[in-house]
Amino acid sequence: MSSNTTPKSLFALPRRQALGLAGAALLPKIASAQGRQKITVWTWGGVERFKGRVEAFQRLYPAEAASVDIEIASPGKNDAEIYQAFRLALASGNQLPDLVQMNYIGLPEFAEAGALADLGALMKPFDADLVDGARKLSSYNGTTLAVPMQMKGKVWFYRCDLFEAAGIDPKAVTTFDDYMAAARRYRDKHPTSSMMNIGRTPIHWWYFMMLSHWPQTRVADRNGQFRVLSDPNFATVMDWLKTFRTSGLAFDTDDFEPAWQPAFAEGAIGGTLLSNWMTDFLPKFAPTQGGRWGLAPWPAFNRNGSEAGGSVMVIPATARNKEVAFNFASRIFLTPQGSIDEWLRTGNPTILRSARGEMLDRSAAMTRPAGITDAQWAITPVNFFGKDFLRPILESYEHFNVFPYDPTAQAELDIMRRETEAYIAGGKTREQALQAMQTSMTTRIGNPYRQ
Amino acid sequence: MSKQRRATGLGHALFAAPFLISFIGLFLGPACYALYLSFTRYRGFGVARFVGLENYSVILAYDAFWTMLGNTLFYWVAHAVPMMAIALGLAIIVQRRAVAWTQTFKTLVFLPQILASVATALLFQTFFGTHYGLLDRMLGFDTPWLTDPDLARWTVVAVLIWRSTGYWFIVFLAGLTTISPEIDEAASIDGAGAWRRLWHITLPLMRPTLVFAVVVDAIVTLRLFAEPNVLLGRAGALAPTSVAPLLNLVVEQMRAGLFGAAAATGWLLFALIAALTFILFRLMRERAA
Repeated sequence: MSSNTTPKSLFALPRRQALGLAGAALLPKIASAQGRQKITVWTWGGVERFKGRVEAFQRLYPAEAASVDIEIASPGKNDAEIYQAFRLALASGNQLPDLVQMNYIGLPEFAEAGALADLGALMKPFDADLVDGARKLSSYNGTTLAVPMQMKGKVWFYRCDLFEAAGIDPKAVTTFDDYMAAARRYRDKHPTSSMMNIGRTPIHWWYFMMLSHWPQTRVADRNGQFRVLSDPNFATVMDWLKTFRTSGLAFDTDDFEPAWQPAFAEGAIGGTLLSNWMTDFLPKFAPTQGGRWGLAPWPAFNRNGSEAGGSVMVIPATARNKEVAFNFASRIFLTPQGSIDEWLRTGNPTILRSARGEMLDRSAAMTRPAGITDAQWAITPVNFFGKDFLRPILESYEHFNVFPYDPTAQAELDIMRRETEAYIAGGKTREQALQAMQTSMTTRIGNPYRQ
Repeated sequence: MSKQRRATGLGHALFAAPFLISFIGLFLGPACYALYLSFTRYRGFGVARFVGLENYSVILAYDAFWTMLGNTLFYWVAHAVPMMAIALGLAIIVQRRAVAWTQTFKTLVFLPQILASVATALLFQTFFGTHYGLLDRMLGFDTPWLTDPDLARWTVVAVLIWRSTGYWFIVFLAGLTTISPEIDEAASIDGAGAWRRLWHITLPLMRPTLVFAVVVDAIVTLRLFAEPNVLLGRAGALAPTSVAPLLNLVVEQMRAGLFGAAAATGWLLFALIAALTFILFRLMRERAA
């Protein structure tokens, strides 16, 4: 990976060192010294969340915000469309944003191409306060390239009441066989409900989520050799998914299919292996089930890892207002007051060591805020899941691991899904599907690390 | 060349210029660039590396390409035949005033056409939803309309028929008005029944409109994308391969940063559409002759 593309005028060594030494306190002075500046931020799925962040920036740091105009744009409805828009902007060189939200899975492609600014010096003052997982999210191949904003740990959501009635203790479920035995016990007790769900096309995030458990597993090495056939963990994940599907113990739908949401609401699904962001969705899916859902890290057989790593903010190497952009992102995500405010607004748990205590204290002491309706309070996570709901999420962060994604991770995922679906449907044997994966990756992608 | 002829030529050129400029700038230029890219490995930015015909050979050897091509052809054939028959039948019914309230009838038939294709697909998603869909609830079944590939393909066909019938109904109605009622009357006086008049007068005279409809509908359907993906995709992912149209492969490769392969697939799709259009025109012309 090259960082030579960073323009000297903006990231010249003396300034970088100065910034590194002075830390965030110096940043507002830079912005104001340069007069009023404008930055553009790209996010996906609408601009509302980032508008809230801009308002928080203006509220918490009025002096700094006074000299910055922040424009939020949403050039895609999901992260894949952001990468697409970013590629086009890089190709044309026009209308490059100053900050881009990505999932970590998308970062290596742009990092390998030298399209991202090296944030090492700017991030230095904040490094010590980041939890380990967040630090992993901020770097790629030894270089700091991102401001971490959200860790996506592996969290198991389960119906406490139904699990208890079936005599299942999530903590006692450690192996894959334990998990399937628990699913059987659950079904025996609750014939119209399932402990999990899976359809014909398992949701795309499960693949890297499961593979990220093993630190040595990667799709291709840096020489461009694909390891799908030689690494047994790929076969293991395929077998797990097939067992989920063919066991008859899972509700027949994939995540975010039309039946998924009502199945939660009607109690047909009583558990799901997912990520901490589900705390945002589940209360809305099943608003009448407040107090009946519990959280735990995934069972030990696949506890480590993360979902797509997590969300990060990157700054293009050729962005015009790098320092101002970094200042905005760091104020919101890397300062204790910004991070707590972010958690209160969005539910994203803090990624800072120094803010954890305050977050847990405030969560434990939280009462119904004035002015919100019964319906709003019913789906507030702290009320819906209980005051201790953050602890299992923080516990999942202890097992947080970022998969070593290749620059062509999206293409690899498409191929993995296609062949695994054929295996699950019985169209191919496991060996045929793995061989087809290896062949497709080799012929269609070639060397992921070769430009 | 006289001054007047030069001025006339300049006038022609000026009149043609807006089209020519937009055609070259917005279609021909990008198409040629895409053709060049199809011989390269290109991530959408940075360097495009020339790889010759590799993208084409890899795609043609890729089983998903053939699955998606099969799906696309299925969607075209399975919806075109009933849809054309329904649209023509409705047009004839209205033309012969076999229904009252013809203006209301026309509006109702055309209504699905003005709905956005995404909205239509979402509507059908609610209708066909497995376990909790309207249809399953009404019938008391638990049919995986949207998840079993064999059934899911037919739900896409249902959407296509529902959506496109209104458009071709209006086109056919316009075509029917070009047929002189005197011919029909003469045949009727000669003792021809309704079916014989339809078969021997209406349909032969409607042939140019039918050829146009079949060809244009084929072109539109071979580039199908929104309906199957909104109906059968979820959580930002495209529809699964077993039910995906060919354009999915183009989009999937672009999303994955495989721009050279995406361009090659696009050109293969173009070749397919061109070949099919040529064959359809030839077939229709031969039958007409």
